[in-house]
Amino acid sequence: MSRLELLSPEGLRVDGRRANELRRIACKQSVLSDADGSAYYEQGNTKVLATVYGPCEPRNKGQALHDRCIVHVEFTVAPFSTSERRQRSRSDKRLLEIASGIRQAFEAVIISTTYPRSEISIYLHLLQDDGGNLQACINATTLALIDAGIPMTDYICACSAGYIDETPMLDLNHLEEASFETPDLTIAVLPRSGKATLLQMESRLPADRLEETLHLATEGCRQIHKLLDAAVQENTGELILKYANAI
Amino acid sequence: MDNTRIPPLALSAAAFERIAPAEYYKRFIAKNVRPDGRNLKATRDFSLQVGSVSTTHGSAVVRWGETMVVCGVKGEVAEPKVNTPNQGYLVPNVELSPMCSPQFRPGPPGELPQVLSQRLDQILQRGGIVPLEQLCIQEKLAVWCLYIDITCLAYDGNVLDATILAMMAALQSTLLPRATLDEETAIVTADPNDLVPLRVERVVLSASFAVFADRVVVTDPNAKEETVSDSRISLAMDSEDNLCQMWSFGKTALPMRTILKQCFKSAHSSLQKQRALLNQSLADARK
Repeated sequence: MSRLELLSPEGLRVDGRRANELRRIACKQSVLSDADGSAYYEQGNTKVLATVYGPCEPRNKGQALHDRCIVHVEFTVAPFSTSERRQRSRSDKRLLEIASGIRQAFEAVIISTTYPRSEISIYLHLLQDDGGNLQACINATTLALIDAGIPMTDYICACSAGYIDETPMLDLNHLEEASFETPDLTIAVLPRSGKATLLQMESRLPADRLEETLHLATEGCRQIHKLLDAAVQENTGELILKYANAI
Repeated sequence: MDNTRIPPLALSAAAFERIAPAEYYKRFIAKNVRPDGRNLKATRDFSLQVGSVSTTHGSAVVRWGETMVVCGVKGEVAEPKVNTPNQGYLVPNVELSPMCSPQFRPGPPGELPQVLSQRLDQILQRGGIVPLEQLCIQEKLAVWCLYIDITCLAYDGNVLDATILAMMAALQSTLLPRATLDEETAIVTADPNDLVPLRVERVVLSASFAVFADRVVVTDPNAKEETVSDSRISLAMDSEDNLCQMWSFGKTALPMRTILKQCFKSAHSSLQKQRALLNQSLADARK
């Protein structure tokens, strides 16, 4: 298999970015009127829609916990999201694994004891896939949960990083991710404390390279936090204006 | 009426463990020991037996403390995909039935077994462990599809490490009959007397940890420790110390850098022990 040149001699990547550059991020809260909270998140060409319902009564009452709420995450991928159409079943193991990771990450920040015997449902829909699905989903979920007014101890900001040609690279796109030799690491950080709730790495990486890759990804999380925070403040400002006009 | 004194509330250790399991563990861990007598960095004893299921093409049984898993590799002939005409398939599947622990319900597989299967699949796909070209029988027409079925017989935590060890042992002991395709009748015939060992290029093994109170790292958690711990980390590494996969999830956020350092240190000895056992068992089986 001929290997695509992922890093040019001038230090530019296939999409013209430098190694430590994020893709363009655009996000917006309250995009759906029927949901309790929703957000649209775009990172380069990866596009995710997140919807939050709840806290409400659990659909399956047997699952209810007496001292806290349960968090339910469902991740679906639109058949048209990739260049070749692909219908994935709901029980696709890859999707379940991602959903399970997201659920565990958010259980760490949602103050679940405020809503005993209830359920918070998070639905994620990937509209376009250009790599970095997990990070995009986590960031979208953070925005949607904040939009739904669910109390959390902190944001969760996620970012991926890889290691190509002896260089750590931030925010891999689909082409970079698809190359099997590329290590692909995703970390989800609470920006205030700098602690991590999720860390996932697939494919091979020399153990002594982990530190710098991890450092770069954490740096990416900081940048993303600023962008998410700006989106939240903008949305809150609009809300306040609306209420002020209504009174 | 005489003055009956109410005795101070005293709990037996067993009752304390049931009522407040998290607190119970915390007391032990504060003293650098675990309820089962291990120190924080010790793994449980594990053993491995290769080739015990004769109906498979390769099999292994792993006992990991009280956890026990069986892995069987069985080949079937399948048609290759159009864009990979000379590559076979590897299909791992983990089964956690109610037989191994009451926490699993009968019916369709729950989240844990599916996540485990997915992780094994990731290791096989991205780790370059078994070159898929060797599974080709006749290009574009017939390839081997190896089903790697793993059943957990007893569940006492850390199934991931046990499963990966069992899978690696079973794959390394797999012997496939030499198969040929008769192009006129389109029938594949396998010669049971001419067995070819499966080539395994890289051996990936994993070490798992549980984290308590954001900073105490415990190696090889058992089922009870898994439920009371805050977070769990697994590292999968090959024999050249490359990190192949890494997962960390938890109920609390972790200061990742310091925790990972501790994990790497302990992982080393666990992986060495596993590798030595694996080589020993395979050598014994070949005799």
